[in-house]
Amino acid sequence: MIADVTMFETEPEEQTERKTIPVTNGDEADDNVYLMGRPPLGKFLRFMAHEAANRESIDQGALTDEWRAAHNHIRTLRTWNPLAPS
Amino acid sequence: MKDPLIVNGFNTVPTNIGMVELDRMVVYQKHIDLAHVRKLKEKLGPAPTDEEIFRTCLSVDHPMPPVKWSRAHRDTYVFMSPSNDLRFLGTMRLKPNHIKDYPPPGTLVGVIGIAVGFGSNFLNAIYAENRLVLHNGSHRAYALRDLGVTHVPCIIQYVSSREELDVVASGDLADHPDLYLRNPRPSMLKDYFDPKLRKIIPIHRRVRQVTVKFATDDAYVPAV
Repeated sequence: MIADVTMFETEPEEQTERKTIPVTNGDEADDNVYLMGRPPLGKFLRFMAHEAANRESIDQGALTDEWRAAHNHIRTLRTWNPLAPS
Repeated sequence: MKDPLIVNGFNTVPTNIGMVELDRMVVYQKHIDLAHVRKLKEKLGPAPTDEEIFRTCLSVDHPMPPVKWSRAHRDTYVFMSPSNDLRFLGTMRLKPNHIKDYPPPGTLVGVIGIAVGFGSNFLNAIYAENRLVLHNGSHRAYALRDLGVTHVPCIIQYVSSREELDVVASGDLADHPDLYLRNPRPSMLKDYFDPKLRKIIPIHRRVRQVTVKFATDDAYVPAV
C-alpha cells in the first residue's frame, strides 16, 4: 500500500533557501502561513517576488509596511523568558 | 527508543522521548503549507486521542510516501515525490552477498549504493542553551496546536555545545544558530497563529526532485 503523502513532513530546510523553480504554467496554489518581521526585509520581499503565486500584483510598499509592523511587534515581545511557563 | 531509525538516526548526542509544550517551542521554518495542515487535521479528526497524537508524532510504521524515479541519462537518475522529505541519504558500501535476486552484470567486486529516500519523520527537537527548537514536524505541530492540543510527544536531542549543534542541526538553525539560541525573542510555534506576525500567501504546489549523477574513470597508473 502506498501511504498518503500527508503523513510526511516537509522539512527541515526552508524552501526559500533551496534551488527551486518558481515559474509554472498556472498550476494550483495552496495557502501558506509565512512568519513576518523575522527574516530580513530583503529576504521577505525576495520570497514574495519569487514564490508567491500572485507575485504579479504585489505592492512592495504595502509589503514593507506589513513587515515593519510585524518587526515592531516582535520588539514588544522581547521580554520572553524560555524557562518561564507560557 | 529501540526503533532502528531512532537507534541509527539519533545516536550522536544524548536523546530521549518526552512531552513538550508546543507554545514553548522555538521554530526556524518560516512558512507552513496550510493544505498539508488541512489534510493532517482531516486524518486526525476534531479530537484526536492520546494514541492518535502519539502515532502522528512518533509513527513506528514508517509508511512510504508516493515516489517515482526514472533514468534520465546513462549516468543520471531522477527521483520525484510530493513529500519534500525526499533526500539523498548517503552512499552505502555493499558486498556481492548483499545483492539478492538481481542478475549481476559481471563478477562483482563491490557495489556502491547511492541511497535516496526519506528521513525518520519523527517529530523531534533540539534542546540547546535552555531552548527547545523544533527540528522536524512543524506541520504536525501546527495541526495539533490548531486542534487545541497543547503538549505532544517528541524526540529530544540534548546538545551541550555549538560543536554538537553543528553536527545534529540543519537548515537555518545550523546556518544562523544565534537567531534561535541567543535572540531575546526567537520565532516560536505560536507565532504562526499571531495575526500580527503571520501572512497568508498562495504558493504554487511543487514536488521534490532529487537528481543523482555518477561518474566513472578508468586509468592505468604506475605499479610502484
